[in-house]
Amino acid sequence: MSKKTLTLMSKDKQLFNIEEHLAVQSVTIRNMVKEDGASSVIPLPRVDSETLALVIEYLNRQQAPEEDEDYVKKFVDERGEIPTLLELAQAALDLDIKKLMDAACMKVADLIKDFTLEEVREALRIENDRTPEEEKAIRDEFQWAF
Amino acid sequence: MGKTPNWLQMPDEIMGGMIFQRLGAVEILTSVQKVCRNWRRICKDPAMWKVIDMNNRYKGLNTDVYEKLTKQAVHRIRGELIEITLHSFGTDDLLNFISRWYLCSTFFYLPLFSFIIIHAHRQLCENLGEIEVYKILKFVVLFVVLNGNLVRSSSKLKSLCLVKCYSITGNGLVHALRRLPCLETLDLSYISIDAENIKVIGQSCPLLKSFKMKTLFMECDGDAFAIANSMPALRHLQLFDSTITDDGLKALLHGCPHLESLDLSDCSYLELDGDLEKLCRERIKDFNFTPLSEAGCMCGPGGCTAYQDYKLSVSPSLWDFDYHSLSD
Repeated sequence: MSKKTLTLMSKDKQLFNIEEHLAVQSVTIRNMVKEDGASSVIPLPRVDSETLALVIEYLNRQQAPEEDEDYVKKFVDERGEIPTLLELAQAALDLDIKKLMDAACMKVADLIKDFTLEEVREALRIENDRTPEEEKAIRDEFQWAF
Repeated sequence: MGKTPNWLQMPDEIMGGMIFQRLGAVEILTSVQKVCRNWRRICKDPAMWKVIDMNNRYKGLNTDVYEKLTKQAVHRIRGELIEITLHSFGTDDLLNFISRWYLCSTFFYLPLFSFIIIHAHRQLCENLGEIEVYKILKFVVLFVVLNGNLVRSSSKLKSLCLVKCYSITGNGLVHALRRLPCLETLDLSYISIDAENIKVIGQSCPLLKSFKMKTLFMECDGDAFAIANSMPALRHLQLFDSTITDDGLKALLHGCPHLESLDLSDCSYLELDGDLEKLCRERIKDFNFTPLSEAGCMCGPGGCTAYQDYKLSVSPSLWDFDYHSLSD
């Protein structure tokens, strides 16, 4: 049996090659291959190239099943940046790679856990989009409990 | 970088269910929900609050703050709460809050509705005549009756876990549990409840399948008799560091015929005389007890009032064990 190679295309039109038997760990790709043989390029319009490179790194370095759990953990541990991890989780969700998504989400939760409000905003590059009036409304909402 | 991150499109279930819920209720209430509008929207979804775990073990925050946070969390989910854990804080008042009936919205409508009807009554009589007014009144009565039924349907709470909630009293607990008839799992660790409370709990929660208890009272076999008496549907029972003796165990075997697992760790008054251990292993799939360190019970089995009650309630024909020979 010859090893077939698939080509994945990221959002920014970069091409990545990956062997088919590794790529089909993604349920989404597996279904695509089943449907039309996937002879041509598989477009992934929601995944940018940096994230796709990570996903492919993950798929390529797959370990023996019993070491898999540790490997996924280590893989996400090496990526300490919350936005990167969230992108990875989103890509894993799109590609339906459950283990990677679970691990990435768990890592994000672990990282956010000890953060203060400001630190979360900073790490995620989220701006506080609420007006002072809304802030006050939130404070007042549960005033009855205090 | 200027580009919008893809993860902002992440479905709410993933963001809420996979990430936020792992953080725990306290983090969500104190920080996550304040980050931005989108996160707040996700955190307000009642689906996030079906299971609430409030643990004050490590943080050691002011228990008052914890209590208020719990009220917020419970308020979000209204009557749909399924599971709640309180660790190292909590009062009777909080339990009362958790178990209260959540259909005030229909209550609010009722006065409004009657107000409209009364004021419209004269007008209607003039325009429609008696029969038409009757039809409308019938509809109103139906509405009220239906609402009455809704009001009666109380909390859906299935699992309640209270660990080291020293401020919760037996009476407060019983009062709350009366309003939680759907409860299936109850974990009371280091809570001061007595045999009488256990009996009422058993009667209030007929669906109770799993019960775990580490009481602060030394009740001899009283607890076991109360459990045997009032919780016939139990599947799983754990009694830690209990003063249960062989008599109590026999009562349990008899009173809870569906037991699948029984854990009697650190019960140092158990002797497992004769065939009792064999009987337990035959009857219960998962029977666990740590060997006794010291034999003897401080009070004879005949001395417990709960024991007397128990004997009275079980007809002799059903009962093979002879207590008097054991107490000698």
